[in-house]
Amino acid sequence: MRGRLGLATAAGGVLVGLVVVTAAVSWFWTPYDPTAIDARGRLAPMSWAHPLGADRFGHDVLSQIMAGARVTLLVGILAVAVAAVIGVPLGALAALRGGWVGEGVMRVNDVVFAFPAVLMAIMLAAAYGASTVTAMLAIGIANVPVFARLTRAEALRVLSTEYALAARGAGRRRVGVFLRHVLPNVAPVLVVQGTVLFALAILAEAALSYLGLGTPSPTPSWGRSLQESQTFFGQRPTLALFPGLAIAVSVLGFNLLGDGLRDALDPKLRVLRA
Amino acid sequence: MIAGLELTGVGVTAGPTAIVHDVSFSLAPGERVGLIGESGSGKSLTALAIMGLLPEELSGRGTVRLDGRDLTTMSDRQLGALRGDRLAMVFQEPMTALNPLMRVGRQVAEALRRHRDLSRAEVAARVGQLLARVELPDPAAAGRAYPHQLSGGQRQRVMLAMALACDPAVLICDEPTTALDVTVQARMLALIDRLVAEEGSALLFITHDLAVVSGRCERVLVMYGGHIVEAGPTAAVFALPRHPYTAGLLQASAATTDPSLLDGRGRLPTIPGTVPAAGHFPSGCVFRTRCQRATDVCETVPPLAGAARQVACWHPIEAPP
Repeated sequence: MRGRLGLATAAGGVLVGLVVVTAAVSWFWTPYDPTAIDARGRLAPMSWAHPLGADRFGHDVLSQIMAGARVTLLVGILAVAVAAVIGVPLGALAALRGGWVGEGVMRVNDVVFAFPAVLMAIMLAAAYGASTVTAMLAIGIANVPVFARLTRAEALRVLSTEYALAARGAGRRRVGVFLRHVLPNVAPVLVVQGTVLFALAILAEAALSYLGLGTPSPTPSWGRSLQESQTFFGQRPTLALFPGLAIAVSVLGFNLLGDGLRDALDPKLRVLRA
Repeated sequence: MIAGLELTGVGVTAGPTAIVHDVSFSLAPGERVGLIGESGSGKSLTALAIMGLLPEELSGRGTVRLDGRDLTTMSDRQLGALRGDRLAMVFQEPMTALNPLMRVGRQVAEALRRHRDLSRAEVAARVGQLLARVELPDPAAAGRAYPHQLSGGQRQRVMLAMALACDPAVLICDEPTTALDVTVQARMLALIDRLVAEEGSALLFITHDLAVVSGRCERVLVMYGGHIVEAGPTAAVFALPRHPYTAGLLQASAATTDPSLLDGRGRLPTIPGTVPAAGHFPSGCVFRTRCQRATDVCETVPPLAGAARQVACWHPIEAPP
């Protein structure tokens, strides 16, 4: 399996694993309380006491990054879940019903697609206040059309195969054919899309928190750490370096994993299309 | 009530273009009928129209009755209750007609689980029997296999098992052996013959291979350009074709085994011209632009006339006295 998945996928898996383990550990243990304010430790340089230094409130940066991984993963998981849970049934409906129902669903999708996640987040934040939940919902909803389109296109492909027709010939009704034959054949593509979307969601969460539209203080977030470090960039460049590195590592990890999964699943897709 | 399958004026249209015109024929219980024609003549669409499985962009007309019940006015739910139970179909492509992600046994079980109230164990037992009946070497192992682990011939047997799962009254085989090599084809055909005879199912056998029809089907329907142009008992039609198209087809086919029918340069006799694309057939008789017997009267559509022997031609080839 490892040989077929390749080095890049393995690297992606390791990076994603690192983020997941860090987030898991941060539930039980961080070097310091990530939200504890220490007036004497303000802007402490890197040392044995603070391996990655401390920010302007004296928060230990290592502890903050570890706790930030939690928020990052949570947002990623929930955003992908929101996008998939709404998008996949919509795409399925469009593929199965066709006609004006299908067309209508896809045109509404196009409208949603026109709103970038940031705009969506600004609207939600204006209405409900900026929070991790609004950021996650905004990213999720903005990506509903991605899943809906992909599901529709792939479902139409599978529905036009002879085995889908043969299942109808055996007396199965449309929904039954979809659940038993179409969904399992579409699932690999959706998994790959979900992995890639995860990377995008991490990036979007960081961007929204940086803009003050995401996770509010004091909950640690990589994007907000980045924004807060801006003022002290001249004095302590490492304050920007480490949250940035954390974002880069996790996005890279999920992208490599998504690419690798796509390659791994592709030969199978080719067999399906043959 | 008329038992069996009866088609009256069945047509298939894609928007303004008619692809299948006014097809009427019947299939008595246990009868074996061959439907022959070249690619694009509308054979497969006729089969899909019977099953009520035409693609969404096509619309069907006419009535299809199974044991007196009109299938064309039924809801999808009612039709679903008949498909796979009373009415079953074997598809053409063994490579694509099985779900690659589902074990073969489960696919054979699909119709049973849909139509029969059986326990898990009973379904498993019945699937084993079915796979054994279609002469798969190791039925238990075959049931656990995924389609890609089976050969083309084995997959075609699986599809036959799927279609026969509920002992259908009518079995439609759409070119079931076209994708197979000749020796596998012969064994598959023998198997179909035996199982259909055992079940007493009516068989509609769709093919472009004349040899496959002769000796297998009691009656034959010849389709060209979406019309049935000739119909009758297989032996009679093949011995004395009355439609010029049937005659041309048989002549070309006979020459493949009888070199004396080749022309001076060793070429097969052919029907002049090519088959027009769908929607570009001439008005009136669809064959008239390729027919040496055509006259002005052929600009009106000839009716399919006659009783046991039917032919749709204004100038049919006369039987010798």
